Amino acid sequence: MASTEKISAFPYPFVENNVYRYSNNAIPLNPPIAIEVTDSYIEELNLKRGLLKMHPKRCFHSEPHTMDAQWEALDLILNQLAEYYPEKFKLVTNGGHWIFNNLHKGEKQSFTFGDPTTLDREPLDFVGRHVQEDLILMMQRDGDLFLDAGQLCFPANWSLYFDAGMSFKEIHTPIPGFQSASLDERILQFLMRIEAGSPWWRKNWSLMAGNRLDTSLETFAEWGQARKKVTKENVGELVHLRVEVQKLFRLPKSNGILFTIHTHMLPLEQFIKHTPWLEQFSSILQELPDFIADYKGISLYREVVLEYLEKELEKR
Amino acid sequence: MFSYVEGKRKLLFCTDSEVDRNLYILVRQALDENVTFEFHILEEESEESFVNQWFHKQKMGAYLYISGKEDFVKRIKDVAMMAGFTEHDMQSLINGPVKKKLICCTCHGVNEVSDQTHVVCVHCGQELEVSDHYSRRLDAYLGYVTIK
Repeated sequence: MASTEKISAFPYPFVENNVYRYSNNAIPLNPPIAIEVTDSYIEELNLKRGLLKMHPKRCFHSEPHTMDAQWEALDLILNQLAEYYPEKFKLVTNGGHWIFNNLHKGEKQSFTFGDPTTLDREPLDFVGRHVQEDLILMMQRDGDLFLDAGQLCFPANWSLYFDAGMSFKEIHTPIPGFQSASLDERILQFLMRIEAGSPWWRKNWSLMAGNRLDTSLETFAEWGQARKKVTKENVGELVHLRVEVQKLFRLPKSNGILFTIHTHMLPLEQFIKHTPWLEQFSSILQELPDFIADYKGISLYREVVLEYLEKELEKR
Repeated sequence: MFSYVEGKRKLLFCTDSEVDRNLYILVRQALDENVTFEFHILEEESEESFVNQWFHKQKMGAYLYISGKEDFVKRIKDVAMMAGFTEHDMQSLINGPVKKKLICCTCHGVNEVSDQTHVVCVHCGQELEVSDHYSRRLDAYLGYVTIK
């Protein structure tokens, strides 16, 4: 289950500001790559496929009208895998006949592009089994975006089954303060203006007790218990900084948006080795308003983390 | 609350109880403005065929007000829709508790709740907090597990 990575590859989520609030913190994505293959590729792929097998309703959902967008997502991702990781993936396209070779995993698949009968799964479900990212398709209509398809194995405490079909604002109603100053409306307007060929990305962070990637809402009763088990002895090892690298691509033909989420985790004891990170994170957590700490699930052990960070600061 | 809609050819009122006061003010206004209306108190479920005929013989421009307990309002609404009324041709008001569906976040099982803030899932036994997170696809609210 453990999936933590090297500190050098960890996407540090904070910018210059020592105060954290919800905001539209998306920036242009350069180079425009929707996916990233890391050292834990094989491990995470196996975990994903196991979850998809055991919990198909929890991990995949699609509305029938998303089929064209699903093929576009597959097209974009398979081409990028082959282009940016040529030693691991090969893609041969001969008209509509495609052969995708995952050399890293030792798997080969041929199919006819656009013909769902030539794949044994829906296109999004197929391509999601070859990348570490969770994949969400938001379809645009009636001046709004709707979560109409997704493959989601590593959610940060939300349910694809429950949220499927919802509009952007409906999905985000549980986030306290997200509606204030019409932040939800402004982000929605931003997303609807994303253009093909100009993708964006952002990082989102939280703390978690434990190191599970599969923190679905469905299993919260199990993994949420770890929040009560944080002590000053185990805090550095048990508590992890969890960062989602989220990327947004307009799909030009279907006008949908492909939203890829790559989840990274690092235990606090690794994270704090880098003194500037320790200093800044300590101030941010100190100042963080209760309503954000509550929503991020930090409140039960925030004090223990703060004491740990202060002790570490004194040692420097 | 109901609102009085101007310019309708005819108003139809129905309620499940003669002590229901929600419609009085509307009836008063219809009388004042000399608008044609019909008023029925429907206390028996067996009156459904009568309701069906009543709705079917209405012409364009008829506007319907339904007041009563949740089951009654749902039943009458269904009959009206079948007879060709749309959401734009009616208003309804529920007296008493409103039952809603709650989806258990753990097992996806459906529970029926009214005004409780916490329930135990009848399918898996998990204690759930009733939230206002609502799915139109499932016509249900989400029940969360809380860690205390």
